[in-house]
Amino acid sequence: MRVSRRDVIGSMAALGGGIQPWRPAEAQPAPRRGGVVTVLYSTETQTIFAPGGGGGNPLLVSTKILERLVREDGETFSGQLAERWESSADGTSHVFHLRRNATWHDDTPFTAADVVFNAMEHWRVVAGNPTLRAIAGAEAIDAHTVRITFGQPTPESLALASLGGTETQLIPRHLYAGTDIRTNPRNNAPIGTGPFRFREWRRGSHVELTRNDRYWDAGAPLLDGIVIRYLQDPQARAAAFEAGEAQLGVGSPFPAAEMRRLMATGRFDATDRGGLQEFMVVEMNTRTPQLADRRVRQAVAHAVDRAFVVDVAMNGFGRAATGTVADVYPRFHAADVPVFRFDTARAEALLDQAGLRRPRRGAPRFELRLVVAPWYAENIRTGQYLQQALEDVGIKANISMPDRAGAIREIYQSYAFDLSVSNNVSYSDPLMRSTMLYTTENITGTPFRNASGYSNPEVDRLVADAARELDQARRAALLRRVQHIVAEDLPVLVLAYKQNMTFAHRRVQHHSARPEWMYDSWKDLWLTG
Amino acid sequence: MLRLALRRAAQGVVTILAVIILSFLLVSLAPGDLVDVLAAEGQALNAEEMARLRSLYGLDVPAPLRLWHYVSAAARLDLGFSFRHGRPVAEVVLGRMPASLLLMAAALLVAASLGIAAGVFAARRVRSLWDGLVSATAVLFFATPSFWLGLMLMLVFSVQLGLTPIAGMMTIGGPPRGTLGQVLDVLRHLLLPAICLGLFYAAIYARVMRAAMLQVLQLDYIRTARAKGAGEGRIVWRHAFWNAVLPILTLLGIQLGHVFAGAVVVEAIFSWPGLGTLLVEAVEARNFPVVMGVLITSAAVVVLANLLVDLLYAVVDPRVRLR
Repeated sequence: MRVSRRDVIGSMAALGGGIQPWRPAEAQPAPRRGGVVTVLYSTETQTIFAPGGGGGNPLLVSTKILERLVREDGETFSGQLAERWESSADGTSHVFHLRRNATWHDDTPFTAADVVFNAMEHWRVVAGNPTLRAIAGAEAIDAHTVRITFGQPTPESLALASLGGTETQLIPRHLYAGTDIRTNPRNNAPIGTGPFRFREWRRGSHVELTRNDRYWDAGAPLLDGIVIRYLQDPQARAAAFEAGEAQLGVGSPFPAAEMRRLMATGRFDATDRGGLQEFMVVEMNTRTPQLADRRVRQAVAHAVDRAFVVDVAMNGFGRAATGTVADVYPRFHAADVPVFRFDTARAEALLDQAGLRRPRRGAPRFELRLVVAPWYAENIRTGQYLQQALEDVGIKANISMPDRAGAIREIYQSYAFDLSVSNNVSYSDPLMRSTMLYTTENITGTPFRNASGYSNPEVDRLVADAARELDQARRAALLRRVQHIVAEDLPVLVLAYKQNMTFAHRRVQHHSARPEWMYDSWKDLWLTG
Repeated sequence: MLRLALRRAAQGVVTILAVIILSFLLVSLAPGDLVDVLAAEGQALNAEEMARLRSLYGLDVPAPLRLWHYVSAAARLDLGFSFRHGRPVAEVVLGRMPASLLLMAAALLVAASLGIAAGVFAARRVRSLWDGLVSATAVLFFATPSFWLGLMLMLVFSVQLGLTPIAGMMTIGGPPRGTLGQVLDVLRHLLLPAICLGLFYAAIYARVMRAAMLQVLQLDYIRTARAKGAGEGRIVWRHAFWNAVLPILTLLGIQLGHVFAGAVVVEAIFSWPGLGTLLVEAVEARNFPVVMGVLITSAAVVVLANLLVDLLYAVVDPRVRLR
């Protein structure tokens, strides 16, 4: 029996739960102070603060302690440690006016010197984001005003998105200057300006944060503390919710079946808002002779039933995708790109046109190496489905599932694959990740960049222009044009957006308020009585 | 006795050296390294930075040279530095060791006490309904995978009955507890993981103890004791038990390494903060210094425990000392 996403969500709703849309603040009761929220996460963080972000594990913790200049609300920005900002007419410099009442957790005042140190010694050194690496200078105009200069005109939205991203947490100059930022012991017990202070990290068990009573935003945070607890086993995480030992789980804390079972109790909410905008991709290695032909790549796309991938391989916890710029960022998202729908006859015709005919009836046309990144069960199931789907059109896919490090090495470093099943992320500005899958300068052996080896001078030029274009409308047009070209050329087949679920006890209020909420400060999260 | 101890200690050193070399070769064969993982996590986002980190972490040095460096450092009890944790490996590993040792000791205590009691019980009622019941239960626990048993224990005792905590080693937050309160709290958390890990070995010990008791109870000296009018309790516990328990002691020593492997699974289910969970994370992250540190430390524990078992064997059975 085929189970569609609609069936899944419908059955969840019928069970008394359902994926809840985020409820606007005015529909909620008045916020209440007090209480400690226990959050469950699968893998223990390797360090509390990781320069460059360090992935989901450290970011989940560090974003409650350390802050950024600005905070992203979808496609708009609000101040975090900067109260306001303005950009020069030529886009090369951006001035930030800092909060005067912000202090570090050790009571040292937060000043422009901290921002200058971070811009010059931290962000532009460790970041992967080319915008941050292009920071040319930072200057303290006075104790609470700082000017950041870029090496080329940089649109304000791109500058703000980069400064509000995951690589730009502010660390205290007085504790980091003159040290190796990567190995500074403070990384495991950070001093920040955020709403929560680091209290304890009991290795192998949990991290405990407590309220910062001297937080610059009077009245915040609402919680007394947060405990981030690490439970490796998904069933144990579900049991912890059931036994009342946890109130919040982020990043899809357990399998769909468990989620459905718990939703039936009526005690929990689940929503896909607040997670990363992550998608599942099939990267096609254009160095492989057969896949160098665009018709073959399009045939692969025609061979795959993406609805089946969402409904079955992803258990309904996904949605159709058209490209690497997520539809939650409508300013840049191109919805009208070509889509190669599931059509095996068309796939076979394209393969025939490419000269890859079956040698005899039933025999494969050619063989490929399919490397599946195994970090999600959905990837493994999709890989197995893809193998069968390709066999139906005469392509024999030899599947390989190394572990995480092995998959990264094979797909992104040694390019020892023909097709991959992997994942990537869409941020609010396409230049922060989405376009990196296609530009020639990103064929560098670095994970989650251009693994397909695709190189198109027109795409390179459009992306370079978009990095400098200050007019938002023209910039959006350039980036939409890129999406059209790569959707046609298809070095990367975007199968579906993954719904990263946040699972919460109904007592937990104001969670998942914006995309990437799990990396927000949670200063406005609260518990009902 | 001293010569026996010295001989066993020398064998232990050779064993640990072999573990170092074999482990090093195994981890070197795995595709990918720590820098790949760091890069995937966003901590080394360009090729130059990745090359710089490989050089910094010594990953660009040829494997035989790395092995030589490692062995020489290990000989000075230096297990290296975990860049991922920002701390020396010895500190990382030793920080997790007490939890693992506690779990292993508790599991073996559960296994030995339940297994020996059940084995003696069954041997005294051989071919009765009770004997059959003990044997069937032993086979059941022997055949039950620990990950399933752990989840069932958790669902029944933690979720349904609310008697034990779900996971972890101690309660997070709450009012301050005194030393006794903390000990009791850890014991509450320890109960289910120890039972989960221990029941498998209890099943083995029950079967072995039953067979050993049956064998010993048929020996001439037992018949002589009976002829002299000794009571059944005295015959079983004074005369038969100490001879029958020797195979259990041997098994305890041999199985320590196996218990450690079992603890990896049980620690993962119950989030017990021991070496098992650390090892799994380190393998995933290609944190080879920590992988090596855990393997060497656990090998040292197994070697040391076997040495103790050998010495204990000599105490229990004087014939060993004479040899």
